[in-house]
Amino acid sequence: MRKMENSRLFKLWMVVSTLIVLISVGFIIGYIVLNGIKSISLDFIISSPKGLPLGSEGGILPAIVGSLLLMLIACGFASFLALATAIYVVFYCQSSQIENIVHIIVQCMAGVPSIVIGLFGYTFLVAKLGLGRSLLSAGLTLGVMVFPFIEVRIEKSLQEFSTAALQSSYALGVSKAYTLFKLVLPQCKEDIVAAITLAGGFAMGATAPIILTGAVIFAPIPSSLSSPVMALPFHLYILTGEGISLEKAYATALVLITLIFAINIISIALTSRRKEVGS
Amino acid sequence: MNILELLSLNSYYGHEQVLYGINLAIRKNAITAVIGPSGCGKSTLLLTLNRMLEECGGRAEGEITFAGKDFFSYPKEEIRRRIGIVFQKPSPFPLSIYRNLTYAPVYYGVRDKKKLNEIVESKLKVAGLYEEVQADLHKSALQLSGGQQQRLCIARALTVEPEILLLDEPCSALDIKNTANIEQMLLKLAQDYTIVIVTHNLAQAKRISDYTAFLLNGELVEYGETKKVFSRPQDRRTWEYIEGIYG
Amino acid sequence: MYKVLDVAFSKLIKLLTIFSLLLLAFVVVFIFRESVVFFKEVSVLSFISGRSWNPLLAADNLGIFNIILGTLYVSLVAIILALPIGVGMALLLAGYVEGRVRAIIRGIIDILAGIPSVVYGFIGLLVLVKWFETRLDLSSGESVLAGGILLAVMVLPYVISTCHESMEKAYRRHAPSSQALGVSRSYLLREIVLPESRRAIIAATVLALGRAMGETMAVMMVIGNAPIPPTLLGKCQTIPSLIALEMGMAEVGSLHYHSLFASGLVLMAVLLAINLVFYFVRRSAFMK
Repeated sequence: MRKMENSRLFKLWMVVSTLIVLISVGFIIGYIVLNGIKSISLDFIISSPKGLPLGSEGGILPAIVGSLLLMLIACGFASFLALATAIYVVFYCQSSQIENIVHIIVQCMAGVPSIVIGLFGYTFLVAKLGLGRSLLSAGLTLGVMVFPFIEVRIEKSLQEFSTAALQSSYALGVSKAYTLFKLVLPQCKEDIVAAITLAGGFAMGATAPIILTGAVIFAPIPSSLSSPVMALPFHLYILTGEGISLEKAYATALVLITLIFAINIISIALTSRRKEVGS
Repeated sequence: MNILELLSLNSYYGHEQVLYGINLAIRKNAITAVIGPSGCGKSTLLLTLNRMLEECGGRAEGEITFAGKDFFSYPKEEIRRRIGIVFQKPSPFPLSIYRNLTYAPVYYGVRDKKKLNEIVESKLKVAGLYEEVQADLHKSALQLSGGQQQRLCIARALTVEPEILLLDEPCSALDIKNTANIEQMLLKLAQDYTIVIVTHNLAQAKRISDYTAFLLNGELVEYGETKKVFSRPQDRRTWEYIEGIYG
Repeated sequence: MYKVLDVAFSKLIKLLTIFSLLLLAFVVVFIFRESVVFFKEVSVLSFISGRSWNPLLAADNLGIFNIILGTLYVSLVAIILALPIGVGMALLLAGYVEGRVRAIIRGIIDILAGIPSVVYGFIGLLVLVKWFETRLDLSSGESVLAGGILLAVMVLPYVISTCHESMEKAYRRHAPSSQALGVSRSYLLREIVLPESRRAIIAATVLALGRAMGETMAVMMVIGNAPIPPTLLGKCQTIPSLIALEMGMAEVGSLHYHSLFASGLVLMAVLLAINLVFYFVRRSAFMK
């Protein structure tokens, strides 16, 4: 009898948990979309913030462009280094000790909170190197943040490449670099691009690292790497935090999550295409 | 004529010794079968001869002469090009059939499209695969059947024109028909290449090989002409193995 | 030709790897150095145990005890809420859902993980905090509980995916023999899969704790940011929000500025410890 009771409670627990999660997701998305859609318009997307206080009218074009640029710089910088590190660990590193050290450093870095990375960017890039609050400073800071994220995923993908095919390639007397470029990277490229785009979504949504390093309340579309930028998440924070305009905040949030979902969907599509080809 | 001579060859994985003082002379343009129970070091012997052993975390010492020169004095890439290997499990690259076969030639500098086509066609013909796949050379090699994949791997090993072809139980995962196909092909290949085949299948060794080496616990117990080894083994252990007392 | 490129490429890869690692190490060393300046003025102990935070007064008013407590309190509330829900859902995913539906649910969880923290903060402020104020009749809804609930939702995807991975494996391994005995799925999940996944659950807890303690924006927008002793329905302050709020005001090179680095260092020390534990727990889980 007690057994039945336990079993029922256990099932109830699982179902209730699942419902809570699904309802939360539904609520969050629904809340942003329903509220956002009321106040969004084409004009909002293609014009600059106006009004007094600034942002209470007008649009968010510079913030959209700013966020995209930040993402581009962050991903470009981080993926270049992350790809090299992953290749080194999987293909060139001979000692498992060095491999462990790399893993520990990357793992630790993944655990450094984004605000502390922001702190580093602010003091080192903005102040010490004199880059100022700029697109470049903020982009590089975000790059440091997403580096571990990209490295771990690329390394996993390279690690999963068929050992038998690798051995066959080396057995033909072919070099590692040739094997990498002709065999491994073409096969893993969807995964690599997916990892980078996913990191892009992560970078685009991050606020803490850019508060101090480059994001400002208002700036035109940046003309150079040294100009300060507007960014969607920071703009949303200012609109809410300063109580400037709730309506604009809803619309900004909608634009931000739409962009991030679009990026995530690209990433998922790439990963599943890889799976189909591979099978 | 001997193309490969091994003198007191020892192979190790880490601290564990796998092969003990192997002395073996491989005849040119003949098929040599290496037989023995699981774990006797057959595969390690092949990996040593292709210098893939070090890629798997092992090392070898001893004296090997290849084509009249010290084996270890060659760059390992050259050894791997001149002594090809086919593994037990078919391991086609995740590329098209065509690209599987041009992969190594392009690396070694063949750029001419016509030349590449020629290589692909001739090697597929040698492997008896051409008729089956010629209509669709650009489909993924992973879509081939197991037997076809293994024949593709043999064809691929031949694209770099090796002098010796090492095969590690190439038929263990295949059915009778595919096995027969591959045996036919090996007999034909022996006219131009030296073949060393590791096999679990005594009947297969008997059918196709000219010479047979029997390995037990990392030692070479017996080596000689196949007919002699099977009909009048010199060592009691060989006789026991052939009679199926262990294995 | 290829030979030369090959060597050049391997050198380049090695160089870039060294650069990356140095960069990461540099970040840590840099923060450490900036904090050391502070610890020359104020002892570590009095910094950690000090109860008052007022950067405008003398140096002995820089104590982050309440702020550390706030950070831990908010994170613990989040874990206590997220863990049972996450584990429950992971079990259901492992045992009852397959194929397309599972892929869709995993996609939904990924959506949850992809929502930026500032959006969470935004919703938290407009919905949670407001609800607390109107329904619970609090003078201010900004509270530890609001932060905890919000963080719980944010760390759920990490808990679910970490647990689910190991539970699915355990389920697949044991399902055939369990079914052969005619035992129900939920019994298998309860008696075998759940106990077998305890390492994964520990790992998930540690990972989620790390995420929660390091989270800035969402927490900052709903906890009221007052460096007072935290209570469940009262305001509090966490280290990340402290840094985010005060860094802009602190003059570079001042004691206040260095104290923010020092609090970042304290947070990192705790997080690094947590992450190392995570790394070893996960590694030993793999070994097993």
